[in-house]
Amino acid sequence: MNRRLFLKNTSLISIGGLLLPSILTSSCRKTQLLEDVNYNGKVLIIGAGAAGLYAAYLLKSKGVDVLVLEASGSHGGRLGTIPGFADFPLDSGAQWLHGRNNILGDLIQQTNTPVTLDDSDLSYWFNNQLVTSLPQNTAIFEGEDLPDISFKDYAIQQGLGAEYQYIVENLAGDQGASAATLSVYWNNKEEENWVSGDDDFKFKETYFDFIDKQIASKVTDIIHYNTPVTAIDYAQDTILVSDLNGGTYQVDKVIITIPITQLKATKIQFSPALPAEKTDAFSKIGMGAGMKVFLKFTTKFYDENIIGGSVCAAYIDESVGKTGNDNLLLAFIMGVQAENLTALGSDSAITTALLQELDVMYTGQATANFIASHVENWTTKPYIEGAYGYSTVGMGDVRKIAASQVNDKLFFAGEAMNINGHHQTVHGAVETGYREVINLLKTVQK
Amino acid sequence: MKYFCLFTVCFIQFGLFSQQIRVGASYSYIYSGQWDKAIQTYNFSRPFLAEQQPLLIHGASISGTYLFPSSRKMQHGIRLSYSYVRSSAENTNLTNILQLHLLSPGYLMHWKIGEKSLYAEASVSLLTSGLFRQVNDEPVSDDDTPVRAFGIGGLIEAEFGYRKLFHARNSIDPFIAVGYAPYFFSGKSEAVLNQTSGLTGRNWTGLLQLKVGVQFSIDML
Repeated sequence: MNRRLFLKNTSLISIGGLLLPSILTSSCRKTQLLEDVNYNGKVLIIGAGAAGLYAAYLLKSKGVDVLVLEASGSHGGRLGTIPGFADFPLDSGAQWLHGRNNILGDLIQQTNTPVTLDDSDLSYWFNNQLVTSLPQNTAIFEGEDLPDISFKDYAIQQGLGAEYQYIVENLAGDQGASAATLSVYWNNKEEENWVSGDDDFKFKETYFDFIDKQIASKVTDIIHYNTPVTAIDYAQDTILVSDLNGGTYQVDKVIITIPITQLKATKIQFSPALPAEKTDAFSKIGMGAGMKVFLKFTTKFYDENIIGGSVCAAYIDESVGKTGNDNLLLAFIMGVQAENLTALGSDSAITTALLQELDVMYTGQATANFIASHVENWTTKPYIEGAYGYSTVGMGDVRKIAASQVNDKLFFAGEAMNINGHHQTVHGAVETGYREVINLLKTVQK
Repeated sequence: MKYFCLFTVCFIQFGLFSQQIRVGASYSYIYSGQWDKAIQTYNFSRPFLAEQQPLLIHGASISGTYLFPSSRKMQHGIRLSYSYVRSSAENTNLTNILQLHLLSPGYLMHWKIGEKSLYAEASVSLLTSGLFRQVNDEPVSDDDTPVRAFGIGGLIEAEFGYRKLFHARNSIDPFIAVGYAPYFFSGKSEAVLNQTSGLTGRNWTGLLQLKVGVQFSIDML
């Protein structure tokens, strides 16, 4: 090869090298998934909670024909508001944004939605007195080589005495569970994927208002309310969905976003029946009882957070991060404590039980300063019947099976179907909403 | 100033015992299927963001190469390369910037092809990375800990170049290089790119890097 020829070849290679990136970029490296998919089928979403709303919003934004069937009379699922009880906005359901490194953190930033960091102080009801710290470290439920036994059993194994019973109950309650049913191993393993951040944020308004304004408002025209789905026949190419009102819908794909309690209770009849492996996976995902009781007082005699009560393991000053004058204490009750209070049978009995406990902690000040209460019992709420999905002892890696699609027709979303560590959260539910839209459109791309 | 003096002394010391020293700059093209998928998912899932996040594709690299003295046709040496890739999307109230830093120290073999002007090199390197996200010019942090992903893997690279002498011992060498890291582990990259872990794919990726640039060479012996 002579010098001239070599220079010519080198020039061609160099030009080719410079052009190659732009060729590759323009030909196969799209900036978003499924850009080339133009789906003309009809999609039905069952449930207008965070997952269903986001899936509907996303499909609608992509020009897909989509309809949402909601069993209750309102959207939001386990998000809601309590108008008029306090002089500041109240969440009846989910109220904390857990970390900002997630899709809803982006939406909050983009829409300039005001949120405040919730860094309120902790107090513990321990050995019949209020203290600001505990003698023993309770961070034993995180780390390596944890056994697949319950929080309750592990606490005993690790030498936490009976005086820690309700402290541990609060730790399990944070996960929507009882200490006797939450797995140390699986809870820890699933949380290893948690990447959204450890800080908790509260909305100046409510979580519901944020989801309502930024997501639900874009799809309310395609939601049919008071339409509980009773049956899904997916034996043929076209799926036939029936509701309690006698309505039927012929669609091509269905995204099911109802709570895991409803799937476990077979509130929807599938034909053919769902694979046994899948229903078994549903049964292994826990979802315990949960309620929020708002107690209004004339004065703020209580601490910001009181952990470890035997009736309620977590009392929280609801006014933190809010603009208003009312003194509101939230009893955040999960698991066995929520079951016990639900068994009392009435809101007034629940309120009395909580006031009695607070009277012991604050020497009669609760009853003396009590104005009113509002009980939001998620355990008895129709179409919900629980708090949020938790990791049971012996459950195994079943969320992937529970969330897997069936026959390229049925897709499963919702917080309990989150396989990337963000279950139990609103942003986790949203993630499953867009994940299943991607999975659905991929079946069309095939 | 002391660092500059130290660098100069080291440069001269190394130079005295080397066959050749090169410093180069290049355009860098990056391809990672997993990282693409994470950013594509980010864009797909956020229709509220008008401006889409560009993929991590185009960047710049600098490198320093040191060839050991040898009378054989094949020489060997060491190289240190650094690449920087940036992706920025400016939306209302949310300017999202991804920054990827790649550093690869490695060992290389150098052949002269035919006459002295053309050369080929094959190298194996340790490839390390740092992937960072900034929102509105602030590093994204989780409880005061920056959200970032570090990566590690092995890189094999082939380079072809042409030595254009402009002085008896100095040359400007245009080159093209293709590198591939078949297993590049970066466990938290999805957390930076799509704010999830385990939703868009696995925690390792294959990484392809193409470089086109020039190097300035000094023959020492």
